[in-house]
Amino acid sequence: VPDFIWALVPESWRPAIQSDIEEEARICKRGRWWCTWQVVRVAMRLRWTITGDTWMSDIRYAIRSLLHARWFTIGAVLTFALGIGVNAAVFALVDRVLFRPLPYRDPSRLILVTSFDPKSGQRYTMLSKSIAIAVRQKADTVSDLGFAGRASSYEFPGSQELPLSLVDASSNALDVLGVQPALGRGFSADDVAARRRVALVRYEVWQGRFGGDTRLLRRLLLDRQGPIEVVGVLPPLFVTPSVNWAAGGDGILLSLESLDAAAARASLPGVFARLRPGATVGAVQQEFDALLASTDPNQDEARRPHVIVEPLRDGVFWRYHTSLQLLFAGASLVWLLGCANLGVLMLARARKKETEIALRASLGASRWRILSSAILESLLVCGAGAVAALVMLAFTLRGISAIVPGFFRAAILTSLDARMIAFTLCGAMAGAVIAGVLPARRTLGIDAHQLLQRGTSSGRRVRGRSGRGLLVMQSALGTVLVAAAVLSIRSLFGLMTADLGFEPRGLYAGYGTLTQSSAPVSLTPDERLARARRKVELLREQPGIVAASSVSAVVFGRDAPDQISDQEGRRVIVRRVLDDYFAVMQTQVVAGRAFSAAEIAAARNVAIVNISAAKTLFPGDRAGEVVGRVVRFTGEPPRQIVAVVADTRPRPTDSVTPELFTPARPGDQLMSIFRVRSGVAIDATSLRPVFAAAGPVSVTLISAAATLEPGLQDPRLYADIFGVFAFVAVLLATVGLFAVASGDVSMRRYEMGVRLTLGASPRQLQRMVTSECVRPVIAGIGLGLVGAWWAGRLMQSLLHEVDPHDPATLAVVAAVLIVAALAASWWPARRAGRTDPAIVLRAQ
Amino acid sequence: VEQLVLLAVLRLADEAYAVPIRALVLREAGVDISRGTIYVTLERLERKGYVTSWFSDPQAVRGGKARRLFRLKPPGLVAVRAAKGAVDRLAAGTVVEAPLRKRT
Repeated sequence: VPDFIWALVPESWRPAIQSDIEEEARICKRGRWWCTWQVVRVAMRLRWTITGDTWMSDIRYAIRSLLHARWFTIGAVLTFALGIGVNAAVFALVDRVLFRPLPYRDPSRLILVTSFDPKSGQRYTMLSKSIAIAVRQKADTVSDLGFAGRASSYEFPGSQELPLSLVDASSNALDVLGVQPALGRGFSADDVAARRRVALVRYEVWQGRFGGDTRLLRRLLLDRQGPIEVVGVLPPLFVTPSVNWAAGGDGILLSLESLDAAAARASLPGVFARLRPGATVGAVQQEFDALLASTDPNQDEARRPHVIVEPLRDGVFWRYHTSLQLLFAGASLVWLLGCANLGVLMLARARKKETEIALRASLGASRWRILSSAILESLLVCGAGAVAALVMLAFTLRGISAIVPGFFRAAILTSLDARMIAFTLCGAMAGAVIAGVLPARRTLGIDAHQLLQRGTSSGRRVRGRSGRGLLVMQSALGTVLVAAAVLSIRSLFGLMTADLGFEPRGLYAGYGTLTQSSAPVSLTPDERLARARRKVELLREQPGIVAASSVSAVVFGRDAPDQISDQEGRRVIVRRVLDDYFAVMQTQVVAGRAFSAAEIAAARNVAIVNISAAKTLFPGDRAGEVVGRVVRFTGEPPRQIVAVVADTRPRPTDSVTPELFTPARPGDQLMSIFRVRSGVAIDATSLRPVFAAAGPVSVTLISAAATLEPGLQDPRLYADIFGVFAFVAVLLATVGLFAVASGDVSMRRYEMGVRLTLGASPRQLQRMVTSECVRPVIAGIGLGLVGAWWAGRLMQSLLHEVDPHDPATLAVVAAVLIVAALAASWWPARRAGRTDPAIVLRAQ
Repeated sequence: VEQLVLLAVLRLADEAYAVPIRALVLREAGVDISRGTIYVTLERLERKGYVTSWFSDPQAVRGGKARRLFRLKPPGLVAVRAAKGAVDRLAAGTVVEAPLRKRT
């Protein structure tokens, strides 16, 4: 039996087993291979038993030793829990979008089909029904095709419950996806044939809103077209295969749109398809292009709508992919920072335990035993941190999922699952290795003889090169995270304070809807204009309203304004307004004057343009020069420009478009707008008399400030999350620095005593400790700023009108880190300054 | 297994080492304990203080090695008695109808 095989057998058993195996081989007449095999088998069993027991005693020892250093353990566990907890919470947010396969059968074979119109340069989720039918009938690469459209709201009749928001889906949608309902039944072709309206509710909605009550099945919903029966529950974590899936709401409703009968000019929303085995996305794209060409052979290829085929995952999540990747990258940096922080703490601890380790080594402990106990401690701290983080998340995840906005609320996991637990534990184990390597290396490098001879470790520095390296790394990571936070906060602030060209606070648009059906009242164009004017007058008389006017398409409303073009094809948006419009909007008149009451009353041929329109129509002219010019548009009388006003845009992210304002004409559809006094809350019911028409009305008010809110949700979340990252980063870096600095001071008390005796002043000692703390932080900031420069480029897509390389931002980041370093070193420096040389030198 | 090994050590007196222990348990109890299990069991019994071990003189053959011999210590004897008493008490009044099948 070769020696290296014998080396596997524990030493205490080696001669005995050698003798026994030889004896048995002699008796049974066995050869060398048999002996070798027996030795291997015996060695494995014995080694496992003996080392297993050793491990247990090592674990017990490590636990006792950690409990003894109570405050160190609490600090280390909590800071690591913070790092890994933040990482796990972000994992809960991104897992479904970035990592988890879509919850369908063989999801890699599913594609999303959208269209692109080269004329408008826009991409649409709608696909022509004739193309869809052609694909179903002729395509060789696609086995079937379904669709899922937009969500609408459906109420439970005679109940106060919130309505359900359901997405129209084709009868074969679940078959194409390869999904079975968790409860009840799916859609069938019979439902379509019998024009039966049935719906399936999402599992989470069924559990959350209806407490898993099976009586939800067979309950009826209602809309104008009649009742809808709930017939089943979708499987857990179901994702509606649509680009609007996050708004997809509470379930799917059977669309009675048949996929077999062609209808002229009809189109289908959110079309998805399943590839045949072996087919690729590229092949499908080619086949779709060919089918499109054959359905409309006469049209010029450059002007014909294109079909875009892409994997379903990319299509469904495209909008948030990059932002979630960035959030996950940020969270990973926080985790890495947690590991570095733990490494710093463990290193400081390893230094304190040097004498003990030297004693163990001199009593015969092997290098492996000493190394394993060092790694075990970091494993235990990380394990405890991971468990603490998971417990924290188990209690807070539901709350977190309730406060995150829109898309993220649909994407986040609301409770812990096996993947999250496995991710957190793996993160902890990896963290233990990263945090344990340097302290373990340091442990191995201890010279027991020298250390025991000297009898004390006083006068030695706690930090070595690796310790400083960890502090530099911590500061660098902190710099990147603080920079990300400052950038996203600046972006949010920019969005909140952006100049829209009008003042949204206190600005409302309102309209009335008849609450009872009544015969339509036909008004003459003049009567209609008169009524609009009357409404404005009534609004002006209301308490709290400071100004009112009317406009054909409100800037912050949903109605698309009309467009007109001149003979050269230059297009402008046209808004018909009543008097005081610019005063109500608080839009600045750059040159000229607002419409006079007489011009509005007589609907004269005058116009006001915004700066953008002035530049488009009269390129090179200044605003003052444009006033008095005449503009001619197709279908419009020639109009003289009386003023140029500031550009307006509904949201800060929208671009500015050329606009033309004219006095309202008889027959125009106008909506009232008004401004309320600051601090006054306006009540829709109090305005009923203003909007009353042929019968009682319900008044709908659109607040300009409220319409801005959805656009702020995502930036606010990014700012919040990066803010949390930065806070945790600075906290961890401060804790790490404080631990190192205070350990350093307590181990160098003798040196401090000698320095004071030789004439150093306490202030000089304080300065020395502070500068030693701040130096690695400054090095880290230098490295981190390079990282922040690079990260800023990646973050560009999340930022609004913020230069990620703005020197002021980077200066703020550096200042935050330096202040944190000064704060961390303040207490240790104070202790160093208060050293009493008489006491420390006598103790030595 | 520990009980079987303890009884075998008791029976073999000063000649108890892994090879005859394994053979005796196979012959008398019909239980074929693997070599690894024998060593692990002896290691555990020694750690529990039930047996003690020492190395014999090298065997009187060419290249002969020393055997690791085992002997029961008083706690081991107490443990054997306790285990046998427990078996007797549990078996009291029961009738074993079918003969136990031997493992081969």
